[in-house]
Amino acid sequence: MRFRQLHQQQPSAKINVTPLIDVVMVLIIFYLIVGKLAAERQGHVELPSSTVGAQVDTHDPVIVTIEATEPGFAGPKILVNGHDVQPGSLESVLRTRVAADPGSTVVQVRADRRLPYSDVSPVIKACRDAGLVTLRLVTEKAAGGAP
Amino acid sequence: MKHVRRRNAQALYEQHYGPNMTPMVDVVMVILIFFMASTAFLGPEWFLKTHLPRAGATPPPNAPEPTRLRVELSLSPENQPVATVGVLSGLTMDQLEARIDEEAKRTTPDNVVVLIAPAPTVPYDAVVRVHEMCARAGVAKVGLE
Repeated sequence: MRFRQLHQQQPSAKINVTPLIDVVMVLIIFYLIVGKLAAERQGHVELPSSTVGAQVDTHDPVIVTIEATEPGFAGPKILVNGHDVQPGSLESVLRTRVAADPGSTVVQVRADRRLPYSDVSPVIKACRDAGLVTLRLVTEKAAGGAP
Repeated sequence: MKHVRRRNAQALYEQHYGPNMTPMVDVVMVILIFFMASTAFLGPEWFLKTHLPRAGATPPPNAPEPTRLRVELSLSPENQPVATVGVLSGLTMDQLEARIDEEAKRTTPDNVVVLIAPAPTVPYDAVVRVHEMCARAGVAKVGLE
């Protein structure tokens, strides 16, 4: 009788899966967030690379993305902070942002390296017409670039 | 005697009533990996600052007259980007870099203003290349037409 009691009190030999579930859940969340960030930031843009540059550290910049489209389309696809914008209305969108935050609006241009300059210059012109004085051309850090 | 030993071991195990740190360590490790990976992911991008010159803009008073270089970019018949700087035309990218370097060393990089005027057919990559050359030479005042 005594032997049976002792036998019942022995710890269970089953594997504790709680830490495994914890880790797997966090990994799933990690990949979801990173995947969403990657889709938002990278888009379908092949950035030019550069060995020099400054780190992007501005809070709440206006990110203008210029994506190359398939041959046959009228022009490139322009996105402002991830939202589609028609080239004709880009200036007014930027002007609204400049008016809301005069003097400190930072515009980052993420343009595809394969695009001809004729696809980028309307964006540059819209920025100039909206009252901006400087722009940031986002590039990919090339290997061997200074920190 | 054997039973007594077993009981003591069981009692010792049951007396260990401190918090179980294992799940916390697991989660902290994964969070650490997350931040390391996201830093690596967000890191490889940076930017080149460019100016948007305006026609008719007046320079600040008493400012020394800078050395202005207007770099006109176009494509050669071989589809390679070439530059025209003043009277020098058909400069390759290497020759252009040497020209910008020379100008930056002749005066001071702060006193050089470069204006890039690309033709519509020039790839955007070539525009960034010229911008990069200027940054390497220490020229901070780079404009884009």
